[in-house]
Amino acid sequence: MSGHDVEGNPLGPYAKDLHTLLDAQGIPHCYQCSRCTSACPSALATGAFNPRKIILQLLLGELPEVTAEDTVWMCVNCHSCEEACPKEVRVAGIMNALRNEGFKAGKAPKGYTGNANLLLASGLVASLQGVDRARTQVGLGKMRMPNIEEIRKLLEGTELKAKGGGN
Amino acid sequence: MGGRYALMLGCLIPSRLPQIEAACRRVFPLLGAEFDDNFDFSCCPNSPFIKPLDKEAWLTMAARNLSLVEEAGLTIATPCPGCSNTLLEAKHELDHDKELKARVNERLKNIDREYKGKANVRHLLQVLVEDLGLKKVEAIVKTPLKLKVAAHYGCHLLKPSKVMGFEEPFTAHSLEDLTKVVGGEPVEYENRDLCCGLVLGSTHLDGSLDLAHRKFSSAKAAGADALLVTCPTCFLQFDTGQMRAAKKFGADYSIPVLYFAQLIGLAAGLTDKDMGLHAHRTKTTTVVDALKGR
Repeated sequence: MSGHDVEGNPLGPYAKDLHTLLDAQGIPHCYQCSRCTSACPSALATGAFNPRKIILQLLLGELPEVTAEDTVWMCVNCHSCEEACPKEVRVAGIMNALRNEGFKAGKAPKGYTGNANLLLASGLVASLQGVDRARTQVGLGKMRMPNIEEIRKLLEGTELKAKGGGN
Repeated sequence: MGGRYALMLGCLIPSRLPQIEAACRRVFPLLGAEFDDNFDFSCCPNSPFIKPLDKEAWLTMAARNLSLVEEAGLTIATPCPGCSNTLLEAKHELDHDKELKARVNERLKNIDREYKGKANVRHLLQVLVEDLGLKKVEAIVKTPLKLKVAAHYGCHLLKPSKVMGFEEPFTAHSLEDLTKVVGGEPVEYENRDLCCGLVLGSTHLDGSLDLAHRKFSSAKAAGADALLVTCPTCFLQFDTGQMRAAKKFGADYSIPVLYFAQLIGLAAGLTDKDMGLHAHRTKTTTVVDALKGR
């Protein structure tokens, strides 16, 4: 099914390698039983996010363009879906691949890109305000910080470094 | 059996929840584990936010963290399931995909490092249960902690189960076992295996609080005196986020949150101050009262 929809028409904005990637996550084995959605805490709490429906779209060869408002960003990466799936479809892996495409296209929610900013600034995803005081309060010394220069050098040429939190 | 481990604290614990770090540093040596702090770990990086943006960058940073301990031949031990999940998932992918491993190593070459695949990773609860053994805890308990405890395993400690290689998610019992060993009573409650909801807060705050509310109400209905966690994210949601959920749902849960190392420390006669209970946002009165009984 790579690269074409069920009628053999070439697919929209996404590259063929994304289809290959999605197929490798087991999409063709999905028979829409919805155990993934039943096990999903985000589906339960939001009533909006529905991994089964997203996979149905992909099965039909429709690759929705991921926007920053897309429900796919409500996936919390808990892997409950994968524990529940009787066909070993890598549901969380699929939600991840779709979001990677969204980020590449400059479309990710601020809640996510804010974390990327923190990571690129210090090598940690943490706000460092008030840390010393919090640590002193429980009798601990200074917090050890990673070698950020080395990390920036390592991330040279990645999407993360190029886009950072800048979208 | 004791052992020496490379300690990887992650981000949230040393910065925002240092009481968890303090508890681990004060409790684990009593059980025979020794921590080596001499490794330049960065963020693992976190799987709910960084992996969805750029998986390859996520893998590359994880590979760097793993490579740091290969020469020393130490197992990485971490108090954070986010860290153990990221590192074990990355290890799984790198060890099963030669092409990917070569690509990541190409990047690591820029900083004169290489990922060979020799490192192992364990969450501290797994270290406790599998390496040290709960008998070690039994041996240091001074006075039983008569508390009713609701165990919350969270997501990443156990899932995906094939990669994490610890207990099965729906039948896990190590936290309940630990509770019994320190003299407490594990409560059975609805929603034990539900996600804490913190990550959802970045895209759907109402949904995030809804999950927390389900958790608090069912733990409360089962008569729990405390929620027992293994994860800084869950800790933040349940401790700091409790007031917010209480306000939204007009409820009074008043249920203290304990990281599992704190539970051990308290039972072993360390003080509530040693365990950093004064740094909690939700009052720990029920826990401190139970201590006074000894």
